Formats: sequence, C-alpha cells, structure tokens
Amino acid sequence: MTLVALQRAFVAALRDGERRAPAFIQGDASTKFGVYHNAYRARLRDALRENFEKTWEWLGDSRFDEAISRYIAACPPSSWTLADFGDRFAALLDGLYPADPEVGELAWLEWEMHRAFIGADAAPARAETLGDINWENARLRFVPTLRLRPVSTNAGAIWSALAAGETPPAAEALPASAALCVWRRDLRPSFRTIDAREFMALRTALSGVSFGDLCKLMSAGREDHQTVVEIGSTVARWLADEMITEISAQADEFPG
Amino acid sequence: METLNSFDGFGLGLRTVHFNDYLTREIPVDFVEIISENFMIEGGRPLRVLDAVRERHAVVMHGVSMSLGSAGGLDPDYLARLKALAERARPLWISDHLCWTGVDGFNSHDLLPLPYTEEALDVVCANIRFAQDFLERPILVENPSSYVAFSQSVMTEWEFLRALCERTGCYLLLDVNNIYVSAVNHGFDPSDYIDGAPLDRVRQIHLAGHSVNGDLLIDTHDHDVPEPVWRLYETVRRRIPEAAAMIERDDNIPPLGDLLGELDIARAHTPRNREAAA
Repeated sequence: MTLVALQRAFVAALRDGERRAPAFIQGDASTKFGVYHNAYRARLRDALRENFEKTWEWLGDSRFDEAISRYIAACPPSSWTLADFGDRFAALLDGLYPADPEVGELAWLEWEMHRAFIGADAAPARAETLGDINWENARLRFVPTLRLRPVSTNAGAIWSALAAGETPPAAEALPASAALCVWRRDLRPSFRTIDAREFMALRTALSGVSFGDLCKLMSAGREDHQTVVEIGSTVARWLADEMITEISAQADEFPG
Repeated sequence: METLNSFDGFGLGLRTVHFNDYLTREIPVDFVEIISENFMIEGGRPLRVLDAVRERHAVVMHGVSMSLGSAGGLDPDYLARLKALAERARPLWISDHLCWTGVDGFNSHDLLPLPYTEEALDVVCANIRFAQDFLERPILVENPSSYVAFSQSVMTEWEFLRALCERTGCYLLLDVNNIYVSAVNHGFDPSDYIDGAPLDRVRQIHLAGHSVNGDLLIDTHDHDVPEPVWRLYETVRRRIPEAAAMIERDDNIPPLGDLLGELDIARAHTPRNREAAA
C-alpha cells in the first residue's frame, strides 16, 4: 500500500460518520483510531462554538450542534488554518432557517467581526488633515476590513445584547430595508445597522466612483443640492467612524 | 544547510489570555514560542502584541499545519505566509511536527500519524528539504504523540527521526511528554527512545501534561506536567545540557503566574541547574 493510498483510506475513515478503523491499524484498532475520529469532530465543533458563540447561545445546544454536524459533512475543512473553518456557516444557517432570518444574519455578523479582528491594518483618514479637496472628482478609499450585508431583522440588536450579557430582544423584522456594516477601528471590530439609502451610497462609493458621480447616482428624484448635503453628511460620518483611509481627487491613484 | 546554534533557556508559549501580562510587565522567561498559524494573519491586535513581545524576548515559531508527512507535498502558499511571518518575528528557529494533516485538499487540523516505512521516509525527507530551501533555514521537527501503529511500519520512530536528521540536516524539537504518551500507548520503553534518538540534533524541548482515557494516554496539553514526565525530562537533560526548554499549555490555560511556577520546576529538574545551586 502506498503512502498516498494509506492517507486517503485514513481520511475516508476519519470522515465516515461510523467509527470504523482502517484494516492497517494494529492492535485495538477501533479504540485507538477512535481517538482521531473523535478529535476531528471535536476540534471542528470547538472552532465553530468559539467563532459563533452568540449564534450558539441564540440557537441553543441542540439546534447548534445539529447545524455543526451538517456543516462538517457539507463543508469539510480545506484551508491550512482552522480560522477559515466557518466561512460558509452563515450561508448554511440561512438555508436551514429560512423562516428565522435573524439566525443567518447573526452568524454572518459574528463571523465578520472575527475576520475584522485579524484583517489588514489601515490608517484612517482624518478630517482635519484632508486640506482642500476637489470634491467633484474625489474618490473614497475604505478600510480593507469593511464588509456589508443586507438584513431584514434586528440581528444587530441581538448581537449587542448577547455581547453585553443581557437578555436579547425577540427577533423581529425591521420596518424598512437595512444592512449590516462591519469594519475595524484601530484594533476594535465595529458594526452599525445602516438604512437602505446609506447602504446604497456605501456600495456605490466602494465601486470607486467619484463623489460627484455618487451624488448624481443618489439624487434620482431629489434636488441635487439636497443630495449633496445628504451625502456630504454621510461621508462625514464615515470619516468620523474611521471607515475611510483616503480621499483623493486623482482617479488613477485607485487602480482597479 | 547552515548550523543552528543552541539556545539555552526556559520559555513559555505566548497565549491570547496572557497578552496583557506580556504587555504590562516584565515576564521572567528567556524566550516565547508562538503558534505560527495564529499570527499568519493580515493584521490586528495579535501582530501588534507580537511586535511588542519581540522587543523584549527571543521568539521561536512552532507550526501545526506544514504537514511534513503529506504524500502530496507541501503547500507553497502556506510556506510563503510562514516565511513572511518569520521575516517579521525574526525567530531563533521554525518548527513543526512529524505528521500529516490531510490529503487531496482536505485538512483534518489534527496531527495524524505516519507509518514508519522507507517510502514515508523518502516523502518526509523531500518535504523537509523543500521547506528548508523555501524558508532558507534548517527547521526543527517535533516527535508526535500517537495512538495507532501501522502494520506497514519497518522501523521505530527514533530510527525514523535519526534518518531524517542525517538525510536533511534538520534539527529536533523533543517533546518529552509525547515520548511518554507514545511509550505507554505503544508499549515501548522510553529509555530505548532516548538512547536511539539523535539527541545532538535537539535544540528545543517541550514539556506538557496529558489525559488518561482508559488504557490510552491523550496528549491534551491541558494539565500540569506529571511526575513521570519530569523524571523522563531529567534523564533527557543529562544527555542534552544545552537546549531551549518550555512548558506547552494549550487548553485549560491557568494564570501566567502558575505557568511561571511550573517553569521554575523545570529549572529545578534540570541537572545542570541543580548542580550549580548545590
């Protein structure tokens, strides 16, 4: 038996739901191989419990462990780092709980907060050091940890309550379309629930359009001046929240 | 391959729960060991802490994902990230385990055992050479703890390690607890292991605790170092007077003061220290 054949057989037995030791294991094969069989699942379970602690609390042990079993079977780990295991867990929960959309939204928020914690560093732009800017041509560059997702529930409020050790509110649909926005301020992951209009502005700005074009795109059905004031105020908020790293009037400074 | 000088001292693993201790006061250790993968990240607090710790302490890098026993070879992307971290951390050395973690793109995130065959020896040697060339430095290979043995094996683990060192010029990270755990699980005499292993290649020593599961010992790193492991450590240190020794604790991690106390026990169990104090 070649080494690669042995390793494939070992892995097949490891992933098999039934604990069956490969024939080439010596001695009390079932008990000894069981150490690896159990450790594989325990390690992945512990990683998900750690990364999705609040989702676990929200779902309870039984439903969370059932989701873990399904996830391990559907999305076996492939990355060199265990930190990547869980990147599709929120999507799995979206599918498992279509009538409870707060579950997948809460899991997405938890995952992105963890990812933001170890995401790339970036110094935020400071409003007081920006100087004169030709706003018509100005383009915004955002921190690399910034992530967005449309949401329909109060998952953000649930996360905050669980993080504070408080009783979370009941899940409820938001009165209007909204999104979750996650990023890191210095070393601290942060998030905000934003309304549909800020979500649209942020997505458009992330695409690399100029401030002038952003205002035009956002002004449909409104007075231009009103839109400029609104978007100017929104950009000021992004600056204050340390979401922006650079504002430049030179389009070619933003390759791609 | 270059010669790796010994570093004589006592250290601890740098764990998240102790970050603030390292940032706010002097910690009496000669070096700290980092789990490489925990710092192979893009940015954020862990790297900021590492930079600060590196200013005060020597660092060694210890990995769990190189998969030196993988029949499919090593992952160049992994090695590139590891090398980038090494350029930042400037470690005394980089180590990983004599094991494999997966095959065909699957990663178990466990340190899986190898059959000790001529083919496995060829595979591991090729992988070690590739890693050493890529990283531009010799690496340390750690003896694993294991729970199964293979009918295909034709040599002992210590014979396998000796051949690895001779063929590749690599060094060893000797985990004394792993020798004890495997000795109990497979029924060999740990003295045979110590007599047969190439101790002149050892640059680092791990000390840890384990759990008992029926007839098996499990390398859980969640208990204090037990007495049989201390005794084995004393035997090893009589043969290896200069090495970097450390307590390896990965679970059920106590306050840093407790681990420093256990490190003092390691110092006391080091014959050279005891003779100097007498």
